[in-house]
Amino acid sequence: MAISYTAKAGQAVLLVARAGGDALNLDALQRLRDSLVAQVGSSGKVDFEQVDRVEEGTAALASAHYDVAIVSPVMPHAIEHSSSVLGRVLLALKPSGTLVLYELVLDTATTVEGPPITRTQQELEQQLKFAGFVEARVEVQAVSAEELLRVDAANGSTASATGRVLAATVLASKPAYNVGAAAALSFGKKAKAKAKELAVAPKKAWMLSVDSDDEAEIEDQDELLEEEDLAKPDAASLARPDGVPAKRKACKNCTCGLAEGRMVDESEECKPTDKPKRFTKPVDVVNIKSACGNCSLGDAFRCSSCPYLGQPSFKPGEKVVLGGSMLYDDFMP
Amino acid sequence: MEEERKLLILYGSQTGYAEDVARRISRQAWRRHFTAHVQALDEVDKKLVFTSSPVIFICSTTGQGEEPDNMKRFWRFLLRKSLPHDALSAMEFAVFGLGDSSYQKFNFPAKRLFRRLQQLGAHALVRRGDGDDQHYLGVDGQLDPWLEELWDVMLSKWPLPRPAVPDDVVPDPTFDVSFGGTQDPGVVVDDKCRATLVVSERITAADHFQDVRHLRFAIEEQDPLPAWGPGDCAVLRPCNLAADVNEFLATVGWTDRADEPLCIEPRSTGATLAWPVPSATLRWLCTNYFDIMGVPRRSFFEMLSYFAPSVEERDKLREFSSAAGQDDLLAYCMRPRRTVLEVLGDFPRTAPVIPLSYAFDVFPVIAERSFSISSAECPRAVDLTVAIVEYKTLMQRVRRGVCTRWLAQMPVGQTVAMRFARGTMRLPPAATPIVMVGPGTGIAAFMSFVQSRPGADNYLFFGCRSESKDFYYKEQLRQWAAEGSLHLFCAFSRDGPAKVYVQDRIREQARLLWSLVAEQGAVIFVSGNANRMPDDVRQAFADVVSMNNPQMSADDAQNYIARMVKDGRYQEECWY
Repeated sequence: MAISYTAKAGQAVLLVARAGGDALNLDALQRLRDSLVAQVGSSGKVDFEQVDRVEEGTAALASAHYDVAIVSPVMPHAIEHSSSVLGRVLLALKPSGTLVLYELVLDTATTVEGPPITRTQQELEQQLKFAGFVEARVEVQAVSAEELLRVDAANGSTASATGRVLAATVLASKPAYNVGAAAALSFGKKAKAKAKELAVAPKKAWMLSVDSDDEAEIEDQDELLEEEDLAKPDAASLARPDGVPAKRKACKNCTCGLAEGRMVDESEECKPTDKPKRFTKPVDVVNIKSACGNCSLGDAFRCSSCPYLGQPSFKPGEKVVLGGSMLYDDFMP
Repeated sequence: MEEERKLLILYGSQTGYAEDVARRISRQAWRRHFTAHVQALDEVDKKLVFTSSPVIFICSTTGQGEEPDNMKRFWRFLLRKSLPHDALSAMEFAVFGLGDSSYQKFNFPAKRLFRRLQQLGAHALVRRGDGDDQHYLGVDGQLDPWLEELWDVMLSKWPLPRPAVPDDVVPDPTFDVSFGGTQDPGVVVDDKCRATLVVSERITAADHFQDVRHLRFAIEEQDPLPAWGPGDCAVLRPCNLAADVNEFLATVGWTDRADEPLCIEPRSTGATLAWPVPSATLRWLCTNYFDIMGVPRRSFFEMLSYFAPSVEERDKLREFSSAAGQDDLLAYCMRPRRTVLEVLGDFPRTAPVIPLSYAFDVFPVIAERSFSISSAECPRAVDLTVAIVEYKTLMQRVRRGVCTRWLAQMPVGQTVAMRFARGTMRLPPAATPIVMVGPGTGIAAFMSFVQSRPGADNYLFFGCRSESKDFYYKEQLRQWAAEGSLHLFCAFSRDGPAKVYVQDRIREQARLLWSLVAEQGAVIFVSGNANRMPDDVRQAFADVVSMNNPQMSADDAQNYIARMVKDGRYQEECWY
C-alpha cells in the first residue's frame, strides 16, 4: 500500500518512483499523486520523474526547486537508490528541503539472492550522509509476506527473503545552504583574504563528509604522475662540487661495511638487515691509556677507534657502572 | 597593526625524520615572525587544511614508494573523486619530500601529493623539493637550498615586519611550565578501553633466540563494547619503567621536585600537547609522555645547544645539529640506537640546566604502537602476537624496544588504555577463498581471519626458522587444518639442509594457486616483517602466473599481479 505524506499548500513536491508493470503499483502511485496535488493546491505543484531517468541523468530536474522529494513511496520498494539518484535529488531540493524515501534493506550483512537488495540500514544511512543529506532518520519495520512476493515477482526471481529483509523509511534534510556557492577567487597577495573568505563562506556540500572515513571512490594515484616526475637525479647533481664522484651512501642500518669506510663492490646490491655488528671487547677502565684524553668523556667526544666506544662516560680510575634498569633483570619469569 | 602571519606545516612521517624537519621549519618560521602550527596529516582537522594558506607539506617515503602511515587517511581523502577541482583554489602551498633515488619509486608520495594539490586548484609557492639520501649531503643537500627559495618567496609575499631573530637565539617555548598545579595527577580517560592483561605466555622455545609472546587482554565489563573486526589492530602507548625514569630524573636534576603537581599553559592559541595530559608531575611525564628511551633526532641536539653552558658541549651539540655534522650524528646516535637518556649522559653539564618550560620542545613524545589482533571470537578478548625486540649494537647495553619491553615485563592483572584502529586488509565474503602469506609474526592478523571464517576455503602459507622453536600457534593451526577450516603450508627455513621460505612453498603450489586465483577469484593477503619478504612473495606469485601461462611474458605476469593489487585482490600489510 502507498504510504501517505501530507504536503503543505504552496509546496513544490517531487515524486520519484518506478512506474510501470505492476498495475497495483501504478494505481497506488496515481492515488498518491492525486492526494498530493490536492494538498499543495493551485499555488503548489507536483512533478513526477521516473527513478531510472533520474539515475541516468536524462530527467530535467531544476536545481534547488522542490520543498519535498518523495522517493519510491509505493510497494514494491525494490529499488536500491544509487549515489547518483541521491545526489540529483539533493540538488533538486531547496536548502532545508525534505527527503522522504523508502527502500528495502537487509537485516544483517548477508547477501540475498533475488531482489537487488544489497545493503543494510546502516549502509543506507551512510550513503545518505555521503550524498550530502543531514539529520537522516531511518526507521525499519518488517516486510509483509505479500509485499515480498510482489518484490520477487517484480524482479522475476523466486528466492524468498522472508525475515532477512526490512522496509526502511527515511526522513532527511538538505543542509540549510546552497551547494556550489561561488566567490571570485584572486591570487597572489589576496590569497590570504581568499582563505579568510573560504573560512567564513558557506561550507560546500562535499565538506560535509570530511570527517567520515567512508570507502568513497578515489582517483587512481598512479595516474597523477607525469613523465618528468619519473626522472631521477643524475650522478653529477648528487656529487660533491669538487668533482669527487658520488659514492654510494651507506644505509642507515648498514652491515656491509660501507659505513665504516670499507671498500665495497659498487655493483653488488646492499642488503641491510637489522643486525649491526656486535661490540663485546672488554676494556680496562682503571688504567686507561688515552692518547687524546677524551676516552672518559662519552661517545660524543671519543675518537672513532676508541676502545671505550659504546660505554657511558666515566671518571678516570672509576669503574663504569650501568645505572637504571640495567641494575637488575627487568623480565618477569 | 601587524597582520596575522599564520603558517600551517603538515607532515607525513614514518620514522620521525619528516616530523623533525617540519619542526625545524616551524622554528625558522618563528624567527621570521610567523606563527606556525605543526601537525601530522592524519591528525589535523581537514576543515583547517581546506581553509588555510599557506601550507607546507613535508612528506617522507616508506616501503616500496608508499606514503607514511600517519598520512594514509588524509591521502585517501584527498584522492576522493567527489572533491571539486577548485577545492583548494584558495591555498598556496609548498611540498618537500624525503626519499632515496636508489629506489624505483623515488619520492613518489611527495610527487603525487604535489600533483594532486595542483589538480585541486592549489598554487605552488616554489618548486617541489626532492630530498635524496643518495646526495652527498643526504636529504639536507636538497632541503637547505629549497628552504632558502621558500623563505625568499614567503618573505616577498609577507615581508618581515621587523628583523628576523638570529639563529643562536633560542625560540620561545611552546608552553609555560611551573610548579603549583592544583589537580591530582591521574590517567586521562578518553575514547580508549581499559584492557587488563590476563595471559602472557612465551610461544617460542625456551632455547630460541627470540622471545615471542601471546598476550591476551580482557576489556573491562563496564566499558562499552569495542568495535573491531578481523584484521584490525589494537593500539597501545607504552610507558617507561620506573628505574629508567629515576635515572632520567637524576640526570636532568628533577628528582627533588618530581612529584609536585605542574601547571602547563600554552603560550599561543592552537598550541596543544601531543595528546591530552592532566595536570601532571614530572615523574608522570617522564613515565608516560616523554620518550626518554627513544632515539632522538636532529632537533633534540639543536634544542640542547641553546642551553649548553660549556663551550665544548655547546660546540659538539651545534656540530650534531648542522648540515655538515649529520654523518657524524648518524654514526653517533641513529646507527647504534643511542637513547635520549644515554645522550644526556654524554652532556653532563647541559642535562641539568634544561629549563622546565622547554621540556615539551626538547624531549620527543612516546608514540603509540599498533599490533594486529590475532583473535576474533569475542570483542572483549583481544589477543596479540608480539615479538620482543632485543638486539646488540656497538652500545654496551643491549637495545630493547620501548613498547615490547613494557609488554614483556607487564604482570598479569595490570590494566592499560587501549584503542582500536582499522587494519588495511579487507576480507572478501565467506564464499571467496583466501590465500594468506604470513611468515613470523605476520600470522597474527591471519589467526583472526581463520577464526572468523570457520569452514571456509582458507589457505595459509606460514614460514619460520624451525618447527620446534618458533612455529607459533602450531597446535591451533593443525587443529584447524584437521577440522577443515584451513589448508596449511609451512616453510621451516633452518630445519633442513636447504633454506625453504614461504615463496618456495608458493611456487610448489602453482597449479592449486592458479586455480584459486583465476577460477575462484581468491584474494591474496601478505603480512609480516618486511625487508625483502613482500617483494619475494610477489615475485613468487608472478612466477605462479607464468608457470600456468607459458605464453605470457614475465612483464605480463607482473602486470597480472599489479592488476590484482588495483582490484583489491592482492593486499599487503607489512611493517618495515
